[in-house]
This record gives sequence, C-alpha cells and structure tokens, in this order.
Amino acid sequence: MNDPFDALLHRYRGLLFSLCQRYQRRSATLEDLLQEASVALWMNRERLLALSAGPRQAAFVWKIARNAIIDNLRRTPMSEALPEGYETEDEDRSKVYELRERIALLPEPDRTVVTMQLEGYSYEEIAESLKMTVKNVSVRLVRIKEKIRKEWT
Amino acid sequence: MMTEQEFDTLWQTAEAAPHAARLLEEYPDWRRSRRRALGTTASVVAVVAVVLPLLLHQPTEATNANYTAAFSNRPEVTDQYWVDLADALLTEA
Repeated sequence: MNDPFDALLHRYRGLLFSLCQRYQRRSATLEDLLQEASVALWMNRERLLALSAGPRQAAFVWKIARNAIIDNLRRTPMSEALPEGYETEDEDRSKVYELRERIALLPEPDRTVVTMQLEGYSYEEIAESLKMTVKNVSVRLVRIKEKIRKEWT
Repeated sequence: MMTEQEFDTLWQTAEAAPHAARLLEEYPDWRRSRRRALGTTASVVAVVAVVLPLLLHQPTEATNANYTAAFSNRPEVTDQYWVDLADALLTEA
C-alpha cells in the first residue's frame, strides 16, 4: 500500500513534529497534538492532495495543523492547575476506542471490510482481497456505518 | 443516537488514527537526525566564528610593531638577554 496521504505526512513530518514540539504540554502530549493535526489534515486531504508539493501545499499543511493544535489546547485544561497523577479524559479518543470495539464485534466479512478501510486501503484493494466487487464493498460500508451509528447510544 | 455529522467526524478520526500512528513511528529517527544536524551546525559555527579567524590571522605592520614594542623594546631585553634565553632553551632541550 503506497498511500498518498502517508506520503504527504512523511513529506511534512519535520514541520509537523516541530509544531507539535513547540505546543506540547503535560495535558497535551506530542502524541495528542500529532493525532489532532493528522485528523484535521485527513479531513482536508482532498484539497491538500490536489495541490502539488511546494510552498503553497506546505503553507496549507502548516495552517491546518496549527489551527487544529490551538483548538486542542483551548479545549484542554491547563496542566499546571491539575493535581499530580490526574489525567484528563480525552472524550474523542475514548469514542474512537468504542468505535473500534464495535467494529471488532461485527461479523465477517464486514469487520475486515471496515478494518481495511480504516487502515487506508482503497475500495479496489479491499474488493480484490476479499473477492468482492467494488460496488459490493461500497454498499456494505455504507450499511455498516449506518448500522453502527444507529446503534450508538 | 449520534448525528450523521458527529458520526462522520468520529469515523474520520478513526480513519486518520493509523496514519498518525505511522507518522509518530518516524518521530524518534527524526529527532535523532535533527540533533545530529544541530550538532553539525554548532560545530561549523564554532569553527567559522572562533577557530578560522585565529588560523587565518596574519600579522600586519601595526601588530608587528605592537609585538616589537611588547617583547623587544623593553629595557631589560638586551643582546645578553637573548643569548641567555637561547642557552636556557638549549640546556632544557
């Protein structure tokens, strides 16, 4: 799997690491900030990947990542005010864990379809791997997502 | 029940997670290479700012005159002084 989004992150890893290092706190570790920036970049991936590698793309990456990091810091309480050993509950992250648990409970081949999609495999790659049609993969994914969403309390 | 928009955001977060994890794996190597680069830069700056001017220093007439004034034109520096100094150095050698 040669993922263009992974290539984009790799290309700007220095920029992203420096940015996260600069803003990291006890309550917002480098890992948290990198996750936050990655999600924001992922949501804008189509516009980002449409740009050719260069100063415009770099500036766009920097802007999206920085805004995401600052948003995260605004939501996170100041670590200095917290007692020793206290850990902030990251609601977004716990929801992702819950989503993964729900996916783990899915029957096969639904579980593999979703897992592969979340790992970044294309519909074509999933279809080829599971001996399905691309249409079948697409329809199955829509149904599974809708099922999980409706069952979510 | 979660709204479609909330669920979409959650799904995208889950989609981005493996990419972020792969990126985070690159962090230790990046940090090591950055430290090496910073060390190299510091060495170059030290060489350029301190060592190079000393190596390239050429005495001028003005500095020569200063050295002469400092070392040779003192009243105690006579011809006998140089002979004694040479003897002392040869004895040590």
